Amino acid sequence: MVHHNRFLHSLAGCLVVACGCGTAVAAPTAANADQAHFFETEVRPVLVKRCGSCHGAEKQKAGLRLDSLVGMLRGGESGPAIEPGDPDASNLVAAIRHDSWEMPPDGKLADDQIAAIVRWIATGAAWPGEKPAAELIAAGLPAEKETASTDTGPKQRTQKGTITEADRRSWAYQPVQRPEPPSTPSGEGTPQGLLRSTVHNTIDRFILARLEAAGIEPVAEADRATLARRLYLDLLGVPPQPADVALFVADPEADAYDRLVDRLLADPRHGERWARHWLDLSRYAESDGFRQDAFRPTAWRYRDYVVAAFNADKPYDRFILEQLAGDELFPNDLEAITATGFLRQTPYEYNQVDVERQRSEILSEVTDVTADVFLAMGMGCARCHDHKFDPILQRDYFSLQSFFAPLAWRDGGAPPSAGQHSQHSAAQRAYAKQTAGLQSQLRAIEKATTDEAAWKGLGRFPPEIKALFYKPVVERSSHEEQLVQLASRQVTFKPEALSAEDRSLYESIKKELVDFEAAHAADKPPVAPAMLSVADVSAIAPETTIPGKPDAEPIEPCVPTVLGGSPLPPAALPTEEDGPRSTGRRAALARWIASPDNPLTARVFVNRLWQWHFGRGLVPTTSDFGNLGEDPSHPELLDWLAAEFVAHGWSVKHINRLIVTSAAYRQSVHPQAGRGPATDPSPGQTVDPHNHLLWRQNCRRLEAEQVRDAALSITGELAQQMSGPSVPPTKPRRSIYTTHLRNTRDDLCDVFDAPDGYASCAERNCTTTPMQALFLVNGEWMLARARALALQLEQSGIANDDILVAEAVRRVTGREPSAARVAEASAFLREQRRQLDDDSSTLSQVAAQRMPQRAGLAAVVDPANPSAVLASPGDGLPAVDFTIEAHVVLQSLFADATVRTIASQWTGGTADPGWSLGVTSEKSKYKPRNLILQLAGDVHKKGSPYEVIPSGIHLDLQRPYYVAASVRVAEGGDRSVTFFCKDLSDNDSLLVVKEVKPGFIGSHASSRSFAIGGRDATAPGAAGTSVWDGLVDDVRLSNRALAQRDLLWEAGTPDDAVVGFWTFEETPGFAADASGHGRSLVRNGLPLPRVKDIRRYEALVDLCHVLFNSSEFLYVE
Amino acid sequence: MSNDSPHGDSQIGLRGPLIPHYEPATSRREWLLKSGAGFGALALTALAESSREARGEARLPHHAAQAKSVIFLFMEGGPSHIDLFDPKPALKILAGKPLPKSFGTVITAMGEFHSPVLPDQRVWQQHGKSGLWVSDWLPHTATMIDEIAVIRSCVSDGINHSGGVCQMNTGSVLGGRPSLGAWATYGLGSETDDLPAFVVMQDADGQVVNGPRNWSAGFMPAVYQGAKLSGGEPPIANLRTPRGITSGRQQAKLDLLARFNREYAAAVPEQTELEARIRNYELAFRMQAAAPGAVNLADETEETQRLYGLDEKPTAAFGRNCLLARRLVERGVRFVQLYHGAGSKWDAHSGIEKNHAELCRQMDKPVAGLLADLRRRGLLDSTLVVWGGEFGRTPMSEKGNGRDHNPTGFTMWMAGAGVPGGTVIGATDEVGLRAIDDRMHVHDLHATILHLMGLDHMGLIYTFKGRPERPTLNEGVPNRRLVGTLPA
Repeated sequence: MVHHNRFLHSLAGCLVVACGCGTAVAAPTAANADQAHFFETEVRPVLVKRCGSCHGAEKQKAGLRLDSLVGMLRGGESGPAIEPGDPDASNLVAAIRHDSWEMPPDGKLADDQIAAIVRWIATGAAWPGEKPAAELIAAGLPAEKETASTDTGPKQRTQKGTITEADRRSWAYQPVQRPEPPSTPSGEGTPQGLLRSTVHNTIDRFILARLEAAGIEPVAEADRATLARRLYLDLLGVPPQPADVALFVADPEADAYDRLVDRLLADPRHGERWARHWLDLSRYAESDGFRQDAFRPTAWRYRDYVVAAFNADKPYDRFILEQLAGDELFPNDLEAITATGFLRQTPYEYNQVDVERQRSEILSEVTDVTADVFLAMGMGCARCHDHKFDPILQRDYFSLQSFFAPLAWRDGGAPPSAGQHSQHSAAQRAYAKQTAGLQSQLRAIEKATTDEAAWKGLGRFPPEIKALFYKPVVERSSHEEQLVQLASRQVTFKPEALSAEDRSLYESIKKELVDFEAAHAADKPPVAPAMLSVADVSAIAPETTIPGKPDAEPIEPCVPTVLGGSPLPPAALPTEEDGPRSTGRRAALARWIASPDNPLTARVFVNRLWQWHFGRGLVPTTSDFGNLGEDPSHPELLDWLAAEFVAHGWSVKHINRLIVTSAAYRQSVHPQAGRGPATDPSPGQTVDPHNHLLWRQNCRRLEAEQVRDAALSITGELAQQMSGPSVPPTKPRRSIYTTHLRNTRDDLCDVFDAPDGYASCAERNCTTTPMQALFLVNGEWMLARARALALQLEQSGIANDDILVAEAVRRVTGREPSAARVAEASAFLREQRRQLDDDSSTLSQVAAQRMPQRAGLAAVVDPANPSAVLASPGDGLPAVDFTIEAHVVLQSLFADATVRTIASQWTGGTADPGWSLGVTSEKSKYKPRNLILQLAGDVHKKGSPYEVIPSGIHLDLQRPYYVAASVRVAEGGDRSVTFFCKDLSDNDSLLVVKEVKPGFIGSHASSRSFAIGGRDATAPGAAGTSVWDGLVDDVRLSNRALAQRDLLWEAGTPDDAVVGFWTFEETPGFAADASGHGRSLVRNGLPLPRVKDIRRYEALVDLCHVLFNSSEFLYVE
Repeated sequence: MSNDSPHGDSQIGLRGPLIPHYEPATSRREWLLKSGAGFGALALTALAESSREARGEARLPHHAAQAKSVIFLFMEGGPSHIDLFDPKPALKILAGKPLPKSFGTVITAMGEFHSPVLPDQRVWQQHGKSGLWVSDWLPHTATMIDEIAVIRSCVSDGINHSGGVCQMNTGSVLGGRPSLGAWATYGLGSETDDLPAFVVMQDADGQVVNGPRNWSAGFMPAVYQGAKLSGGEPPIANLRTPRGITSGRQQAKLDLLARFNREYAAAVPEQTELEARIRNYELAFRMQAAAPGAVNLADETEETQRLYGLDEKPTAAFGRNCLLARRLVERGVRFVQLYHGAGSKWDAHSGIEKNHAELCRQMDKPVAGLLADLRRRGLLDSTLVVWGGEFGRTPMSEKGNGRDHNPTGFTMWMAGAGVPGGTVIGATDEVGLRAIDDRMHVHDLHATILHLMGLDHMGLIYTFKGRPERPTLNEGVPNRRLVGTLPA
């Protein structure tokens, strides 16, 4: 058995403590903490460094080992090395004092080192982790442990290249048997003689049997309020409302608990909570990772699939089949196609020209994650060599990889192959057939084009890839086709490079297509949703060989050797019209994994369920059932659950129900619960302090999403809406629906250990850091929750402070406060009020978040909250020439032609002078996403009083840009509007410069406010229109048309010209003008909460904030 | 009984033996159980009991450390080794011609492998007693060359920025692993109890490639991740009390919170992190007091500020960070990483003359100033300074006047912490395309840095998903000349 006390370090020496992972069962026996510390710091280092090379595991000169207590006591040719308690009689001491042998031979130890060894022997020679010397001597000095000096875990495997019978005998590879549950414990033989023997279901019989054997009495059941909070947070991810708790506490029926469990398991929020567990494992994220970290706008469909699967209690075997081979096994089922998104969570490097390596990395990634998630086999090590510890050969690694060897990525909705169609896509195919001729003509022109200029991006690839690219499809091998498909993701066709003749033909076919679409818009079948899915590249699998051994026999798909090693032939697939399109390899793998006979699958998954309920699996290393993992604490229970799971049709809810209704789950977390006024430690505390035997429930910190969802739920802000595309974390939806970018993480998720989506995460870390404390106590997010809750409470009309604070505690912590707690909180409220003066309002918060590819904060502009538009009085702002610059991310367009405004000094009325920089929406006649400037002048003057000046620069959604417009419209000079735009996510892109000659002449002087993210809201009709959606940062307004060198992008400092500069940082202040002109921003029409007593409100904010910071909120009992 | 220390298994030879270590992590619980005291006493003693923990006491290294701290100067985007430290006369001879076939082929990011060779336009001179070659782009660094070990044979696996920067930080071109700073913090703990142990700063507001995951803890707990520090106010995110909340009000909140949290911790004595939470609020409070002082340069003399180039606009931004790095190291910060050219500014695919001239000007004086300042304060002996980017640049031209990424041979350098100054390690081929002698893969660089910090890269183990993970993915060896086991 291996102990992974991985956090010993943090506990012993670090300023912060990590918890939640497996800790060692065994405590040191003979050496107490002081002795251990002394030995480890003063004695062991000397022994290892100065004695180990001759008297250790490798060499034993004179037959002596000094790397274990047994070795020292047994001694060598001259008898025992030490006499515990008597240094002067110890050979070792004589040797190091140079009284007898002169050891070590390369120089005497330092005096303090000698003194330390003497002291250690004198005090009894306690060896941490070893029995006392006297006991060992009494036992006749048991055989030395083989790896005494290097005792760091399992032994490396010595049988290279083969799997032995001993390997196969490991518990995890044995067939699952359904063990007979132990009989209900009698209660005899425990210290108190009355072991609590509450048995709610079979689980408890297994748990109690172990406890009885250990002489441990389990604690009492938790009270109802605690159970309600535990169940809600566990099953739904949000806490109960006080009314829910009250109802449950008052429910007199015996089955009250069971009914609550049933109700929660049926609640759709259950899927929203439990999907997160699976998404951790499947390394779900909505961006590519790597440099560009491009957003994956359709990734959420896989997330919704997982939510729905947990809510529908989709049988786990089907869940496996769909995710690994949905396209092969259920080609007509869009849900199953969506499920293959599991294989699309791989990070992707958009500009990797070494596509051979890219293919290999992609295949290895899905191989590793499949083995981790479904089989708890750590295959990764075997990619480069036979596994050093587990019975996994390198051949096994590539055999598993061979199932994925034909993998190809699909981004469209419908299955790609001609033979695989739902009715849905059959209609589409019929529709598409009408234009197939035109399409193939287009493709033919493209394919015939070997002019590199026509293939933007192709030039970067090595010659052999270029050659493949031009090779006819039918001549490419499967492997080659995969490489071309990967390369094609980086290549776009540019018809501009065609010869005049070809180009005109090309354009005319395109026009025909457009005309056809226009004419047939009515009978066009609905388009299948775009999503990330997979297919096989063809029905012929590319060969799999071990890298570096290309001449060896190709590796065929097989079961891992330790599980039998038999070949796993491709599965027969549903009949296809025009021949097979897929190899059936993944289907075969999925069926093997999802088989009731697979010894790992069910065990691995029920163990994960257990972990998600208790914080620790019966096997603590939930993704490693191999030699590096830990053995199960309750092997029979694990098997019984696995058998029960399969017997009940792989129903996840069935196992969840069994676990949460067990007495083991319902126990209190308090080690003394139910023991009355005891002051002595209980047997559980002394014998099993880490609670491996489950004599109590574990107290657990909320996970990042639970923290966020719970806080939003408590304040009443949480939106109920389910599913759909993700929203920024600033929106009050459940965390599972917020955007998860790999490289731009939400601060809350970051400080609370949410996984980053790069690798499968089987167990979250649970750290507490000063950054977390700073986030909670100084950060804007939690403060905003406190304000929202305080506002609710304040407006509830409760006049009495005691009643008010009690309600606050109840809502945040879910528990009924004691009288002392109420008194303490009331006193706090009074004290805070006393400290406040009437002017210290902190109510004007503005949402801010990080912009991808940029440091610092950016303003969040949310069209749903138009009052968030920021404005500054318009006097003294430029009336003729000017330059406006900003950094932006646009998240959506309007469905009509309304402009998304970046900045403006305008109401939007064409007869009202002013200007606006913005981006066009869906129905714009300038085409969508066009960066435009609108200028409105004096209608009485000549020239154009209102003009739209389109740049022709189209911004992508979800992408960070620097944009600027340098405007020269003064009468009598050369007029120009120069737009600048830089894609911040693409370092290789250039600053785009577009100059447009405007018709507009002269002044657009306006007295309106300058506004960022919208228009002056004080004008009638202007409020809330044309609002930006997304981020705006570093906005600079200058009073002349700046040359390129003076732009922000070029780090220009046209100091004399700048009239305002807003950086949205804490310094000089979120809305303050960094240019020193004092043009600080205010929120348009900020609706101040109507509170009667601002001081009481502020004090209440403080109390709510403290409660949201408290362990009572952040932990669940 | 197994050894639970990450300083796991025994090593022999060059790296020296590793020491198994077993100390119980449950001292508090043991105290509780042994004392037989009532639980009421617990809350009162919790703080005193855990004070050793709270001090963030440093841990024993594997062997005697030469470097107490590391300052990693990351030139983001990939500086051209053949224009800075690795002179190649052959470039002038081959100018305008394709690379001779004998150099083989490599895959380049932009694919202009067959573009003609771009000669450097540098004036090269030998400097210092050692007579090492440094180009005219780095006149200040040249004055410190006798402190510097120039490693001309670095090799990485990342041909793009993302993979390159990721590997230089975490050992892998793929994301998700802990950064070197996180490993060092995990292995050695902190020597400061009011500042983060691992600090990251950048010179410009572009996002460093891959963003914060370059200094993340990967699969290790968040406690080991780097803290982003800005030279401004507040230096650390959320450090400042929210606007409008007076210190009296804040103090009262923290007091009430501490009372609530102590009460709660006492009721669940097994849950040691509940106490850590209490201490972390105290630590946060201390940081609030200490961090602004650490970044306040007012107490630096004008001469010192000039040494780092704070008085001139091009050098002021990076100079400030270099000076801050020295102040942080003085205060016990373990690992400081400074990004220069944040947002891949060194990435000179075109116009390398203008690009590198400007970036060198920004960086050269501050870096030389840092070395000089560390030396005169006696800090250079215990501080390892590492300079370099994620890769170098190709001898072939790109877009006529630029150079593409070159991970197959490039230069980094180390100074301080006893590394042999004024030496050259390794060599590239005649054109600087590939490292040919003493190749130093990123894993070797990391093993060397860790070794100098007193850590054995094979003995530094974190168990993730049940498996032993090591900072260099089980590869790499410390360079024997750099760590002093072979005479330089």
